[in-house]
Amino acid sequence: MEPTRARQQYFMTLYEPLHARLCRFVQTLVWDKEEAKDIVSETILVTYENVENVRDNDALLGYMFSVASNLVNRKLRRKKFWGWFDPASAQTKRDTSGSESSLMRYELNLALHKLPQKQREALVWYEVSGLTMEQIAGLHHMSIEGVKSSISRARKALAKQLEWKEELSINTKGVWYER
Amino acid sequence: MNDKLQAYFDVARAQEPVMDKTELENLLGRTGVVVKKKRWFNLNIFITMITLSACTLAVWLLITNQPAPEVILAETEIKTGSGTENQPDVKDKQQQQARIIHEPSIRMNSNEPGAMKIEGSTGVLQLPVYGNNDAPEVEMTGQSKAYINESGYVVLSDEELAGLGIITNGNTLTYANITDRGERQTGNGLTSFMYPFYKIEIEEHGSSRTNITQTNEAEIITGSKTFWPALLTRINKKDTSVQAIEHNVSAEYPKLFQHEVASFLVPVFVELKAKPGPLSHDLKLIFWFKAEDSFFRALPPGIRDEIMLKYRHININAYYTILAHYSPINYHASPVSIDSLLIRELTTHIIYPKRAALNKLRIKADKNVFSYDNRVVRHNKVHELRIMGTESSVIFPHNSPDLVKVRKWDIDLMPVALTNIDMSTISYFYHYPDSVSNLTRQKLNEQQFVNSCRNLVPVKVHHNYLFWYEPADQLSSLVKEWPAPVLSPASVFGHAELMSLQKAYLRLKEADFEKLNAFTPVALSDFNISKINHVRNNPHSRVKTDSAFVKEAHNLAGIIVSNEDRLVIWYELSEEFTEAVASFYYATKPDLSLVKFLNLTVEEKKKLGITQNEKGTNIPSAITDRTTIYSTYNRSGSEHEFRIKPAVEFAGDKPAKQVVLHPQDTLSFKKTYDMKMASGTKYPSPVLVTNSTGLVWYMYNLDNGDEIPLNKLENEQFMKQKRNEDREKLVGQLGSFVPVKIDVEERYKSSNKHIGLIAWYKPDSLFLHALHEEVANELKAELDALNNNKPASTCKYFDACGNHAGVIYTFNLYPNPVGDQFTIEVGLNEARNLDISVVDINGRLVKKLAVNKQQDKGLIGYTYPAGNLPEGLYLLLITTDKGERITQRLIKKQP
Repeated sequence: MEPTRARQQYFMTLYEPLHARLCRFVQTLVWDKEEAKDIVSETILVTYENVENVRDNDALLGYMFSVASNLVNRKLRRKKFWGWFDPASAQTKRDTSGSESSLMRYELNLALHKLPQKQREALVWYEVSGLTMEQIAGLHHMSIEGVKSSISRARKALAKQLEWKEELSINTKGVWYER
Repeated sequence: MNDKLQAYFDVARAQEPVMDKTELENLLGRTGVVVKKKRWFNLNIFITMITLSACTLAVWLLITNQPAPEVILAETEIKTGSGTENQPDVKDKQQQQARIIHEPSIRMNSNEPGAMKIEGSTGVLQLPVYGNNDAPEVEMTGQSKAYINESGYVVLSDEELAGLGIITNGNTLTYANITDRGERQTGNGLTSFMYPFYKIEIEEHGSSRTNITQTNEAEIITGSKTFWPALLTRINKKDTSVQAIEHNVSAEYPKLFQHEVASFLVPVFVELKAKPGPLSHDLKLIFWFKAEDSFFRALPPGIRDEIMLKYRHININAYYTILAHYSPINYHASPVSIDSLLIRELTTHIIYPKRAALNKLRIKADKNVFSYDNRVVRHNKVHELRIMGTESSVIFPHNSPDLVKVRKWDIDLMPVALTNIDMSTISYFYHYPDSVSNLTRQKLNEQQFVNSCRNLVPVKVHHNYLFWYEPADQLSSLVKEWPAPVLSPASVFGHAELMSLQKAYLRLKEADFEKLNAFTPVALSDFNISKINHVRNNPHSRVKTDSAFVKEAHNLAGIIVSNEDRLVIWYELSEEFTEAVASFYYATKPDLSLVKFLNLTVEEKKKLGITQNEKGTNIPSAITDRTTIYSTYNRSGSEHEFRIKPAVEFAGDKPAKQVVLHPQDTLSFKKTYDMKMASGTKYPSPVLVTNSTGLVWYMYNLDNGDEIPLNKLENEQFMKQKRNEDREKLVGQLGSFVPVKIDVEERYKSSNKHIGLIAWYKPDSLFLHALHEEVANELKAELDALNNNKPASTCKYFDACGNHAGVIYTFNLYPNPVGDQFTIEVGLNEARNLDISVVDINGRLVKKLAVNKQQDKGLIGYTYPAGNLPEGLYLLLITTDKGERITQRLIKKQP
């Protein structure tokens, strides 16, 4: 087998179990499908280039998620929407009217962006991508207790963001959530 | 709380991966052979370049015997970034050498404005500091590197590009300038010009997509030019997207625009080398500059003449014409019916609540998005209104299960319409009670909105959208900025009333205007009654204040003076006035004998269940034996509440089984399930409820006495069919309904909320039982006569006691309810001259259909158009020259 092919296969065997989890992480935080796709492919390519340096499965997970997290954060930090107009992507951007689940995802996406970066990541990794506490602790360079508390804080904050509809009739002060 | 969160996470977990396996393999396949990390900095090339430049330096030193300027070092270093892949071609190389030789002639004095500062060792190009007004001429002698390539693009060196404001080192790019004349439509419908700051930054790029950041934020403009690129395009195989810099408020320019204006613009080609990588490709950008003198001056002299020759004949105005054609403001022109003056007037009323106040209005507004949800019960239906708005679009998600959980809804917080800030698009989703269709977002009625928009309060919820509210008192307590006194006198009119007033305006003939001199007007207003000038020196006037006007408006005659100004003069509708001026338009006197309203005693009211409270007038009506609708009517509309008796009663204190019906179409039983009703009384149902001018507010289903089986109640189709059947039956019996007048009680007379009503009852036994015995007996006798087609002894309650009088032996009207036209059939025993007219239920003449029409003996049918007739309940009145009179009730519905 030629070396490229072998390399690809090696990478695929390592990567494939991670693919869905990585995609979910990126898609939850980046609303635009095209952009999410870009980030995922960029992550894969960067990892593929360095696949020799990553020998075991756990290390690959850590590597890929930190690359993806960097890319996602860079994307989120760019507040200004860049300027090329592309009708196709404009269509996907507006397509929030679809099913209830897509609406929910949109709301979740909006709410998540209000959280601090580390809490947001920890929560999505834990709940959506299914990473373990240890893995998150490794990625964020913090203790497991720290991860636990940041996840629980994120949960509370998120619930507050999402619950405003429910509390309309109860909360008479007119404050639905804090910013 | 956790359950709900979990639901969100479940949804997130369930999403499909954005790439499937084949895509993944393709991606990896595309990376090609072994990925060898290519280095950005290549030592070999660096050394060769240094040697090369050293040689050139030596040669040059030999020739000129002068010390070398630092600039050369810088140039070489920048060029190393190009990498091995992107070897400059031979021509480039020659030009580069040539340029290096001639470069010392660039002015190096950095104190001078317009000088280019190039730092030696670091190779950093600094932003040129030019004055704001004049682009400096790049002084360059000798040969320039610039040339026009085979595609017609102008290719310049990095320094020359810097002269145009494009700062690049071959890998990254920055362009910052204010743009020329961005047009923007302001709220008043006029166009204002602004000069947005435009900046793009392209970092070193490599992967499949390049990040180009663009900002419109105002910055201190240091390097601005007096010439502007209109477009920015890029030529790649796949991506040929166009960025319109001009008007960068909107990026939605069609491709066609580029083709049309291309010949007016000078394309300047910029190529950015990509960071070496598996998928990287160079970025080829074209800045399309407008052919202006200041632009030509900034070009290097070598190519300046060539470009000027090619482009100087261009008339820049032609370009602006095309631009105006494509300008986004032309796409969304305001509705014709809203003129810019009106928009300007309306925009002065816009209130800008703070976020906390918006929250109180149930609007959750963020920087770019807003959302709103509420529900309203109207005409038997629970309507949910949910709006999510983003920068560019508004979404109305429907049937959201979340919404059912919203326990409290607030009709006062219901906006009437949603428009753009410039009112170019209108969504009119909350129709008023006079409207047949209600709460239909799709069926927006622009004209209705235009008619009533002066009475609405515009609230800015987003920088692009306005909500329009009715000026309810409740809102003024919620929002501090709410106009505390009502906006205008007319705003206390309900929409329905205003419409009926407007429809009653008189349009006099020229000759009749002279007759007006004998009378003093009481007020002067505009068409929408948004402003009233009271004539204060009229001693007879009862309407010297706005509130008095509002109360008396229906007893005044509004005369349109000029159609264009839409000015209305109001006169007291006295007998003299009607006789002198409006005899042709009004019956000499409203003929009150036409419809006799039943006035109820307190006892009778109690038996009918009619009460009044602060909210309005309550009228119960039973739709089945078990179900009762409690309806509240007031000036701003009607609200209905359904109560149902337990379907199955259990012995003891065990609660009765709750009947849960599907609320989708009609009823929301679940909430208002009421145990007390188990032994309650059954109230008779009115068939119609109208306001005092005959505008039909509510049409009930006829209770035919047949109980609907409970299991059928859930069957939508069955109910629909039954309703339609009932309606048909109802109209057939229109002539036999008894109008019951419900006046506003004394204690609520000062309230603006209450309004007089007429409830039309079917004279069934349940209704008759509720009345005083005497009245009931009279009614019964008349009813019998009516049913048996006999002349009755008294004709007190039913119009003309049937459909015959004197020589008129038959009189029919169909279809009823009337749409566009209707037909009447009259049968006469003898020849007569007929007057046929439409009269409102207060006896006021609405329309004369025929005057002194000769008709022979026999049966004859006439068809009349009725499209202009406002909605409501009317009487068709036929009188003969011998004084016989016959009437028939007709309902006008919008076709």
